[in-house]
Amino acid sequence: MASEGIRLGLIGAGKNTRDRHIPGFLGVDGLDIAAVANRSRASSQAVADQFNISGVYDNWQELLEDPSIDAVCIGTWPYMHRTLTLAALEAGKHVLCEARMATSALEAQEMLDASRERPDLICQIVPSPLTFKIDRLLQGKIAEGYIGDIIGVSVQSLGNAFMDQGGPMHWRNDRDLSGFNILNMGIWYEAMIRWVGRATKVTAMTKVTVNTRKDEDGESVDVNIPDHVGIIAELANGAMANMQFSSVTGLSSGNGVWIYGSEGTLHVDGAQNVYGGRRGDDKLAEIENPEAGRAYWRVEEEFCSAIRGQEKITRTPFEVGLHYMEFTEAVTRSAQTGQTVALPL
Amino acid sequence: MENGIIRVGLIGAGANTRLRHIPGLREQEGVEIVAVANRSRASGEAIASEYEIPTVYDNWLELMESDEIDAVCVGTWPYMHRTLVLSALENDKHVLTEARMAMDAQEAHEMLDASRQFPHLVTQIVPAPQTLQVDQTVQDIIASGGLGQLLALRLRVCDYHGRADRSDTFMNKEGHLHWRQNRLLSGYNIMGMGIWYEALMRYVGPATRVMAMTHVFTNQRMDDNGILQGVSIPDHVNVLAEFASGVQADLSWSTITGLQTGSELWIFGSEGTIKLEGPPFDKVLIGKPGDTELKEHPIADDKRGKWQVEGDFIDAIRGTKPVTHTPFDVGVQYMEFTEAVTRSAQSGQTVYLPL
Repeated sequence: MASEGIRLGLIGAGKNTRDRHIPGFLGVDGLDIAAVANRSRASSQAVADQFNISGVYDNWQELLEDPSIDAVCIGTWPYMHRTLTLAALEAGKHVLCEARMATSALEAQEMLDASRERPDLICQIVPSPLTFKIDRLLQGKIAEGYIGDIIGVSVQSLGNAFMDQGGPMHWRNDRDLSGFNILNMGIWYEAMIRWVGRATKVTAMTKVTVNTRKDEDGESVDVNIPDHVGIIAELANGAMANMQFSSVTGLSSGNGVWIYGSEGTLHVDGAQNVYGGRRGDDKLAEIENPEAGRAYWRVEEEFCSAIRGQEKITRTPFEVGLHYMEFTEAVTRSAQTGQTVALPL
Repeated sequence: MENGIIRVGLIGAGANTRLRHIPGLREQEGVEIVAVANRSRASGEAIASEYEIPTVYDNWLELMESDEIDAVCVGTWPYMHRTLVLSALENDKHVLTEARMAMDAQEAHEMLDASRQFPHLVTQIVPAPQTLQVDQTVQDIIASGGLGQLLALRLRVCDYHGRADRSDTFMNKEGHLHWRQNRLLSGYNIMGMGIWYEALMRYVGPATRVMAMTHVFTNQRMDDNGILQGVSIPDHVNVLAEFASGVQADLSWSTITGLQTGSELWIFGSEGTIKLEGPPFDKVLIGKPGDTELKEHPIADDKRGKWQVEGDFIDAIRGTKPVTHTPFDVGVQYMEFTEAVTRSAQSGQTVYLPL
């Protein structure tokens, strides 16, 4: 494979696939987007026409049965990730799976187990890209001891709009499609663990404020994925974290991260400017974040390089995906039972 | 009471008593501070001479036994509040006790029960003062439906209670053991948690369940005798709570969040958002659907509350006003919340209120 071309099939070609993955793959030498299977033949055909993809399949089974396809990019909503990943591996194809990894920790575990049965195949999840701009800066500052021991971490991602009772049903509000995933909790948690490591205990309280929405046909449907979430966690490094996610916090202060250490503090504002200060300073000051040092979106390139044996998957391997799915499920379990949930599950 | 003069005795004359209560009582007409009992006779005498208080007692028991005293002001640390309040009531004296009300919920209940056995005596706790300037305005906005349905509340407190130096907000491993860090003196009270919960209740009522995680990062401190003591009162607290009014809250207090100098409170409703920030918490910011940012809400002068606990206590004794800031039944609620936080953190389980 190292010098050969890679023939890629797309299963599910939603917005992120069209906006990100297809352009990304088109930039990789020796990669051919050979086929697509979307929810209907018609929608597959439309994508194929737009991007000059020669193979159009009626459904994903047919695409996976095509022996000429080396790798698949799974762009469906989470409810199909496990099924498609397992089938792709059985069919001997490398897998790049859209995030969030799965609908539950169990599914993520099955995916990881299946990936280990095929060490010859590459498995990758699309990484949380939210904080690429600042990940290395925060990692570097923490590693150099800028803040000393990490004591507290605070992550908030709060919407700016007031509650919209009866608003449209998005797949992210639909438990059948999204499982335990809530708002952008998983994507922020995945980012957070790059800086400060994993949680060992989770305590959560959640609320469904907008409990009815309108589906595509204008019918009212019940919603049971929370739109307001408070989480407290203990991290393996001894720090305490608190995280808030909401879509009902009108005119809130938006997104922000605070990392408190024994000797210094780091703060990331909503525009991802980074501020820091150490004991003896009188206030936080902006920390320069040179463009050259920043991580960037290269998931398609990383996937292809890994298939060619040129690198290992770091953004994001299935092991990390399983962990964030365990965290994600722990949040709901804690909220349901009123008990602190220890990780790993 | 003789000739309408209310004679007050001070038990425990610490910083807040000297800074606030003595001047506050002296502003009232027909009030005399007639006696003091501090931890030692020497410290009692020092206070008496500085503030011209005629009588010094060796200990609080002697002060309680005096027939020349109508009311006592209890300024000790929480560990003595229950004992002193019960004794004051049994000795037929009105009682104003410093906050926090007690060490735990059980003590607070005993104090409330005792107060009900003496309906002719006034019982009052020093109120949470930090938001007095804006309380009435926030209450009015909420009561008039200005926020619509109440949904969520966030409170993040950069706490200074027990800090030696308010300018250094980083963790201080060399710090001295403050009474607020001493469980034998403070019980379940943690930092400024109780005074903030008391303030929140004015806006959104009491909580019905609590989940908490806490941590003691500075877990050893030197006491007054130069002995290193283990510290079990947290310096970092996170609480999730549900309120009877439907609000879900996330609340945090920390004395070790370096360079975080301010605190903020947000109340989110379906039709509006309020933000308070400080100290000083002297402005109300509000935003509504359609707004692009929060704007300052004007506060009428007559709505702006202030520190007046000594006057309120005297008015209540004279029967002209009931105690609103703060009656014992409210104190019981915040002590139950306070205890619930520790119980939840210890057990990893939700604790439901009332206890």
